[in-house]
Amino acid sequence: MTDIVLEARSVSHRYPQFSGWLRRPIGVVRAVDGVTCELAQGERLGLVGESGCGKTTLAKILGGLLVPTEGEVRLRGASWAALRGAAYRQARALAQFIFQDPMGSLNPRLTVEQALREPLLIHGLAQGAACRARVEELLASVQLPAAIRHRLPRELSGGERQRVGIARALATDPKVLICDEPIASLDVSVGAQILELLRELSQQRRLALLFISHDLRAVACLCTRVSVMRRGRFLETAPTDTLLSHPRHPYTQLLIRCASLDLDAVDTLPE
Amino acid sequence: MALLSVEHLSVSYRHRDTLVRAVDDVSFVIEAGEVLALVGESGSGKSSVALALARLLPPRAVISGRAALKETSLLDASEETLRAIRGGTIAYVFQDPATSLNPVMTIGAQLLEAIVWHTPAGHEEARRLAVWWLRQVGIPMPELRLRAYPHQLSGGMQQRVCLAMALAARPSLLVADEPTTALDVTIQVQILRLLRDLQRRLNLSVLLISHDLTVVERIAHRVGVMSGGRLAESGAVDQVLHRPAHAATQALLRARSAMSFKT
Repeated sequence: MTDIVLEARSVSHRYPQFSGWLRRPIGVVRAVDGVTCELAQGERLGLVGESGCGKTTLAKILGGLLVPTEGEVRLRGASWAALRGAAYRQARALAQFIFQDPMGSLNPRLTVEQALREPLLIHGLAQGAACRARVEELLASVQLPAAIRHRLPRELSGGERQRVGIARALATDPKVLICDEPIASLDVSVGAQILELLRELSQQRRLALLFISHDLRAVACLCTRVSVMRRGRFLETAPTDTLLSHPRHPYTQLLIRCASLDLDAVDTLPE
Repeated sequence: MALLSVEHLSVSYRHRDTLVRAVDDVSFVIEAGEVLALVGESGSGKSSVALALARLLPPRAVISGRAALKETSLLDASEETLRAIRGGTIAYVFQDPATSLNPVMTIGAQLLEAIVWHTPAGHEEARRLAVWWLRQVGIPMPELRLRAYPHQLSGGMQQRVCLAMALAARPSLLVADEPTTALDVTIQVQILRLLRDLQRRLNLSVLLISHDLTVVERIAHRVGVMSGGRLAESGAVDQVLHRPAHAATQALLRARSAMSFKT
């Protein structure tokens, strides 16, 4: 297939572990362990797993924020590791992030307009009046009123803040959007609206989404394909409907039963 | 007579020169052995209700109305009475077990403290009870765990310890404020099932605070839906969730079905 925008081949990442006041190395944690995956244009890939399974480490590696200890990641055919200077900056614009806590990812002292201008200026995408018009356009694309541009993050609701985060990510016209638990700190109703927005954006712009969540319900609701991750590995990857109707791995079966809070899914005694 | 009765409870917070009302004229009762859930979006006032009962709110909170647990009036109780109420007749389990436990005390020391303070047990008896309670909440090798510090346990194990501590004081009312929200989904199911089983076995009276209708459905008998500080509607769980009368309940149900799948 030619429309693959992001692909990872046998990616692993190890964090060294230290102990005691001499910080002696005592071993390594394999946060990501031999993951191979690809993401096509317009595709929405969901990544589910429990906390500590390596979801976020993998997201950082795929988005070029972290260099894996093994393997390689290619964005539109170019390896992150080989990119330097202007080419690297260009690639940065193509893969953007949305994080869980919009309060933490927005600068509290910048107004919405200033926050949205930054990527435009850094990547030299617009100046002066064009910049202002682009800010309004970005706000409209996440269904926020233009009047909101003078406000500070603390003057916004959680849902509005996350929309600003999405608008900022869209500023550089990316091809890949990596969403790391974007609705985990929102109310259910607000989260559902954000999912709907992400779906529309990915359809309108043929935007590839990597949607990371611990919540299989949210993933199933948005994504076309789902990967289940545990202890740094991909257990299985399948189209959403197939995964829900014919889960192959016992852990996937467990996740599905737990997602609907089936209290008979697990024993009360711990693993 | 109801175990807990709350009448016309209002809570406001002082903000600069004004009062912001968080809870507005809320009344409900909990019978012995009953689980009442308060459900609503964040900011609807459900946690303020829960914290007002043992007067755990910050000094800038202004509380009015009446609340009584058995014969004890709660909202005008003296500091001395409150010490017996807090963690004693009303025990709490909160969302984040890591911040509820004292990081520099062992599990055993914290459990013993709760037991010695709130029950007539002496030290030897308290130790036996501590082990017994850890076993009740499904912690393997409880004798060894007494010497563990909170950071040596997983989040699910920490929440089990919190539950053991709350129950070890033999409270008349257990308040569980989003007890599973911070946990992984598989652990969530374990803790919910544990809570349901213990509730049935010990005939616990529980005030459950949650934003999740499915959690409510699994363990509550009655539910009150909060919206903008008011109790929008209340009744038996089946009735409220299947024939919602208020727009707030309908909105919660819509949000839930927007994010669910059929298996």
